[in-house]
Amino acid sequence: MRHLLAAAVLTLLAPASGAQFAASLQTLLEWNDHIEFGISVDPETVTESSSTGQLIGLRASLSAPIEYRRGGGRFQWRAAFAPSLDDYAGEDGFLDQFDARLFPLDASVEFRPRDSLPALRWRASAQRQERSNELYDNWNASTELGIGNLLSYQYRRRLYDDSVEREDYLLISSVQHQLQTGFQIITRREARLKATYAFQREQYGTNLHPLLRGVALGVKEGFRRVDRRHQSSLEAAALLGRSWLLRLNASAMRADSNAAFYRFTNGSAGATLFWGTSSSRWARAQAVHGWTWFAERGAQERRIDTAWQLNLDGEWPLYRFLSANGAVQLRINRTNDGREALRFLNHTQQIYRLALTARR
Amino acid sequence: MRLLIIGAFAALTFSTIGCGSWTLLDDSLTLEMRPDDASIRRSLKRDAAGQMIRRLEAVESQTDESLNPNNRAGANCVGGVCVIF
Repeated sequence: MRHLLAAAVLTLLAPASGAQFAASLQTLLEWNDHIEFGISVDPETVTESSSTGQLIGLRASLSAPIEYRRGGGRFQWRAAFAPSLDDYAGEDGFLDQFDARLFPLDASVEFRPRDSLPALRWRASAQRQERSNELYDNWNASTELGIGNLLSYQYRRRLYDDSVEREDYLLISSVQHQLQTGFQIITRREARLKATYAFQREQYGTNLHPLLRGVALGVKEGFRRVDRRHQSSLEAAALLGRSWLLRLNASAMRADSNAAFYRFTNGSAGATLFWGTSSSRWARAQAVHGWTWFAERGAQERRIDTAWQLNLDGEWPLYRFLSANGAVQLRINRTNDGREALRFLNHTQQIYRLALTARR
Repeated sequence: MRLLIIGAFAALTFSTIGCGSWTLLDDSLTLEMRPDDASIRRSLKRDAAGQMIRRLEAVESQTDESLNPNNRAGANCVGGVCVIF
């Protein structure tokens, strides 16, 4: 709460100091019939806490992002702080343990040596997440060096507080390095094609749960998972009239690992229709289909997971600095693995969200 | 990966045979398919398609983090695949 108060005080002081601040306050209400904190992949946990096999609950959130920008010459500075509080309700109080406090801090500086050259960029962010159940507390820090959109390197460190002591499935600390490059093709004034490629290397902690060591082939006590991923994407965007944009995209990822259990190939194809007339008046419809082909998961035939995701969201101004946001999300997951223990992977998720945002 | 290689090959082929030229636009390496039309090049920074794409990307940077349940969980999931199962 003290962080929210600090954000409010900074916002009030901003005009007096002459600094360029953008501040907003957002309240949000969200209904979700498949809440995931990692525990939902453990069927026993869900069965004990829920009669439906999925965790259903309501999330009320309050966030107060503030942003400081300064520029004008060759240099551009930006700093942002976006504290938020999450309050969960549902499952007879079971979800209370996930009530959260989130403190993301983000800073960047850009230097453009000449108008004809791309900007050199350095960005750093740190995020502290705390939940009522301390098992989930973690730090997530990253830094990035970039040359425009030509080339960038990102380092990310995720660190759970008790990462060394506790064995788990998902909440495992990791270190990630990423190198990304890309280019675009312009065919007409109204259409663009953009391609990106990224290489990631991620190394995880050793605190894997004994159950995982029993399920995953080649994973023994003290095993340290190391992944190498090749990610590529292709986007084609075209303007339809003055206010509509259609974007088609496809992406693919090949994940290689030092354990066959974690090797897979992932692909997705999607379409987005975007409408916008001002910064607080927009709408978006999105459909994405995804496939995941696993290399080795112990199934009789090669396991393939598929997912459909449909999103519909938008923002509408209500009064001066006040606007309303709404979102509907539907996700349908299916797997061809018929084993009883993995039947929970076939699920449908619905999320409905309503938010009010005040900006100044 | 295959798409990227095909795209890069096609881009190089077009630029080599004179259908396009490489330039720097919006801090991105850009292949213009009609380089002789100077008016297009001048207007590209202000063009409506570019502005709409940047607006969509701004919306995505603000909303997509919260749309993904795995991001909220802080779980180690990549491409929809988590550490186990």
